[in-house]
Amino acid sequence: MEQFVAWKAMMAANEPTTLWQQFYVLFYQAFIENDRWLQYLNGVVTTLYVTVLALILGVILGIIVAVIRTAHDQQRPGHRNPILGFVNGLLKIYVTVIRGTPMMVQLMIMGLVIFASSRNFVMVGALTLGINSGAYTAEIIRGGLMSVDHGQMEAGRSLGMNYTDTMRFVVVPQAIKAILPALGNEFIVLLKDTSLISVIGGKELLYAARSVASRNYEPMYPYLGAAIIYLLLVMLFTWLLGIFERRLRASDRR
Amino acid sequence: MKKILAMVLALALVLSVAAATAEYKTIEEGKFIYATSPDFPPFESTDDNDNVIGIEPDILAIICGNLGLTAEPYAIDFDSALVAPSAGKADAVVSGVTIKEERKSSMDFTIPYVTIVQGIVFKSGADITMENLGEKMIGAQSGTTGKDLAVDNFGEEHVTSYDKYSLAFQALQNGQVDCIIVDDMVGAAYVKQIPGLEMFQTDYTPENFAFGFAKGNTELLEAFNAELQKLIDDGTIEQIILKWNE
Repeated sequence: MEQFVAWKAMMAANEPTTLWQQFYVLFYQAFIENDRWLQYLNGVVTTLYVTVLALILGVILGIIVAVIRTAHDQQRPGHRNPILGFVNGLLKIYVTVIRGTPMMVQLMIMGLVIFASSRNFVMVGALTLGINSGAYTAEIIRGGLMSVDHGQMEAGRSLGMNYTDTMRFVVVPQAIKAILPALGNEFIVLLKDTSLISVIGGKELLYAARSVASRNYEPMYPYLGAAIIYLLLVMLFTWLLGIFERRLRASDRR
Repeated sequence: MKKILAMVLALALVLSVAAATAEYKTIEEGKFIYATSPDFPPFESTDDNDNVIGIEPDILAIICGNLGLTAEPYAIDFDSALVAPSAGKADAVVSGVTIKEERKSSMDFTIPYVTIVQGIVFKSGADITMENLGEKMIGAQSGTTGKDLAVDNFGEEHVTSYDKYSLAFQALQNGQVDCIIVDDMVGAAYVKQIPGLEMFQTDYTPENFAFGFAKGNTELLEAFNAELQKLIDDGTIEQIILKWNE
């Protein structure tokens, strides 16, 4: 602490300082002075909170959209269900609009127009990210469901299982394995996209780093710190997904 | 004859280049690049053609004209503008920058040219006073002295900061923040533009505005200071400020 004050004064007065002293001062003021690490910690908690909420919402939305759209696409020719067709049209619009507009624009519209009276910026951010992620997840899951051979469904049905059971016990387990890498990709993008909610006032990790950077007029350490934290979170995520994938593959070859 | 002409021409060319380069060291020769966040009327804002206009661009145009430089804005968010000179991306930050002790370690300030106080802008009729500020949600632009003051006095949980003041004022109109802490002259400009807003001045210490130069560019800084002093003495600055506050 005394070291920090003394060395900082030396740097402010343009006196010669060693590299170690500069590193110490900049690091100290970026993370330790006034308990600034707490700001980063709160930021990480918010980031994870938003990611988890958006993930759950995105997966639920994705599954619903994907199942309905697959059911529509895999109808027998000549036996089209009009209600299914209508819902499918709506869902197609949802996917098109969400995939066709930038995340940042969606956040601005949700934060400042649609939820103009809400002060819970974090929840608005999680909702926006969830809806956004849902569209991408839906297409990934749909791809997985469509990739399972038709014969699997036919075999299941011919053994006397109904549509839901065949889906649940035959098609979906095979689909999940196929889409896991793509899904992991989407989750990682989602985690990093949480940094965007700082534009509508969400106090996540980047918000904390910017706050500290503008206090010290020294951007390098706070931003590098934030980058390292994001990287660690993504690595943790990747590792967990890897374990999950290995578990699912355990019965592949015997 | 031709030879002499050629030699004279060559000499003239060399001299003219030397005259242009010898003057002041800037990032791009002949240009004075200034980092600014143009959402800060009347100090700087943008017109419909995306030109940066306002009090500070006007002052810069005069000074740079006298010094043989062309002023060129580098528009960016305020917190990034503040670190642009030390990062070597701009010759100076000119964005209504308050002279502050902490900032002196990353930039060299010119002499101050105007004094302001912090103001609080709120929706007309809202119950906002200096006394109950601590119970409200205060909006600000990140990196500003106003935000730092609010955080120091009322804590991080009572402050929401935005990239730009324009966004913060949007949030105020939406009711997402109760009030905004902003330099009084800027607050007054927004109050004039947006109906239904009011402002009062706080009793925090008045602040002096100056231009923040990249550290170590003493020649340019001194030349600027001399020019700035002239403009202050002959009342030009006052006129410019009056003109933009109309």
